[in-house]
Amino acid sequence: MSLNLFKDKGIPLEKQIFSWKDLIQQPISKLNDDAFTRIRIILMNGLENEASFFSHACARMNRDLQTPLAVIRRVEQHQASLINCLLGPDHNLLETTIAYEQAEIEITAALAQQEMDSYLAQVYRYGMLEDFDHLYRFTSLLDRLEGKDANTILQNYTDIIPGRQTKEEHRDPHDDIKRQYNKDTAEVMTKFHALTILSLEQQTHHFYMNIGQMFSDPTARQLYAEIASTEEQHITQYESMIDTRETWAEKLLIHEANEVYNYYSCVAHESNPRIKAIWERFLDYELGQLQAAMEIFKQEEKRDPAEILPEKISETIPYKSQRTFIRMILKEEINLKVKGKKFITSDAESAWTVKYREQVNNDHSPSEKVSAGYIWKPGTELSM
Amino acid sequence: MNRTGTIISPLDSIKTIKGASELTHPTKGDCTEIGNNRILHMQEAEGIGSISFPISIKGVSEVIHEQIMMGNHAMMDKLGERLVFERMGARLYEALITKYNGTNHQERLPELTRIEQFYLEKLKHFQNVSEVITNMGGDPTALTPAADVIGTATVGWIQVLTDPRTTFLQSLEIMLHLELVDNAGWELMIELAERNGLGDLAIQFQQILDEEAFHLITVKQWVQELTLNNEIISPEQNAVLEFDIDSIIKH
Repeated sequence: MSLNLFKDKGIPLEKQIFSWKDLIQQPISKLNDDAFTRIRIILMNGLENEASFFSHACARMNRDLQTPLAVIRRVEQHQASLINCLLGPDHNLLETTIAYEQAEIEITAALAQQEMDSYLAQVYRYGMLEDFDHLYRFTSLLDRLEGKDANTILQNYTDIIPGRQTKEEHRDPHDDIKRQYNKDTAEVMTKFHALTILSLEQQTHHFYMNIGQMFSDPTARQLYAEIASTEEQHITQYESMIDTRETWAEKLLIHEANEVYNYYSCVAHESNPRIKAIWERFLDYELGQLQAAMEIFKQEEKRDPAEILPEKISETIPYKSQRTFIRMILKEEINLKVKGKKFITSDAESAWTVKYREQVNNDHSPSEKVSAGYIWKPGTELSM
Repeated sequence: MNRTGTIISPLDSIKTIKGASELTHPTKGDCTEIGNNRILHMQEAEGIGSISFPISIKGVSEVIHEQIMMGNHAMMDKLGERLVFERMGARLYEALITKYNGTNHQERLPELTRIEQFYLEKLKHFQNVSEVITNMGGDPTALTPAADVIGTATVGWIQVLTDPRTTFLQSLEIMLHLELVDNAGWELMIELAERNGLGDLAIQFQQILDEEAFHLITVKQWVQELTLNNEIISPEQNAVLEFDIDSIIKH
């Protein structure tokens, strides 16, 4: 089965409508739904928000595009609301955080294996080991603050083990900029992977920045500040991989096509029939938005969208536990470091990163404090 | 099918448990690090805030007048707490009535008129406290520290009552929490009023406590009856609990 980006035209924009009741659907069950359903919800909310951020930036720079972009963006706004509200209110802030980290780990690990560009795959593996450590730190926080077990969210799919220590992740901004893919020669899937992971990291960063202040405990507030800082690094590194020579219209086209690819993946793997129907509806919406983006591209660039996009999409994101792969990377690449755009095996990090890290860690490390002596056990560390 | 435990995924959970045990080499220390950090911040903390400054003081002794004017009097602080608690209690009873109206098989539930009575009494208590604060020269529209703290503590109660997925009984159990705390709160208010030489107020608060005591005993009995009659899980939810071997194998 595959999707034809040019023939499958989905639902036209003018028929992509919502009511307020429609926007707020029954949330998933924290207890009964599969963790990967929650992961897809988090990812797709992040993708819709990225679509909105990009669209606004584009509108600020292109007077002629402001109206057509506003039309697409209004639908995306409502898609994001509908998707985000699928998370039930019994997911508290910290439990939602656990789910965000699981989403980052499992999706980054999955796409790192699918990525054909070996350098970008390395960037993904590197970032994945950092998110992996965040999960361990937040698990300890959830256990020690609230007496709750993160595995009730993770559902045994994802390990709770330290990765690259969070306190070692802090780097000078100069070392976060990575090599760009070449827009003319890169596979379209490479472009989709980059945008997908960027969207997810950005969503996570925004979430942490908005909820950190809602915690009473000082270590919790500090941990959110510390990990939000590393998520900012991740956004910086992932967005730096995207070719800056792509035009606004070209980027718009890739954004819409990437959303098609992602909804198509959700439809292919969703286990909850009610949620699957939402993915199917939004896949049709996205195909309609892609058609609108193609028109914009033709008008702006006087080029054929087929120069940018493939005719068919048949690949999907493999939504399954990546435990084996992650353990292998943990074993082989835990000591890897970066220096500028390069990954290095020695300790010869840049002087500015060494200095920066010493500065931010100089009084203490929240991520170390929160997990001092912590080893996850089912039922929390208070279990016999 | 509930997926939150380890038994539901025997193979995967063994990998997770063994992995954590064999591959975690934590830094030294234990959970007290978080507490120690909190102590450090407690030393720098400036408190939640102050009580609002009374404009004029009526019907209180010189000593209390001075204390209230100093802005740290427990009476005004706790009156503020009672005010927000009773006002929130009224809203929670409204939500309980909504839950009742949206529940099937109402013949199994307590009498609606009794729930409505409790709602009206919470509303009356809120208005009573408001008058007392005003008469003492305080501002019933201001938030006191104790009121703010109780507001933070009870956010979860409101979440449970207003979640369309929760049952009447799950909501009623929250009302039991509310009534337990409410009773203790009024007992303390009576004590405070008496110690401050406000005998008339203590009598007024005792009348409120009598009504609250009836709320508590009644709600407690409802919770017991509904729980013992196995009303915890709706028939629809029971259906989900049926053993699904295909899903487990897939999982």
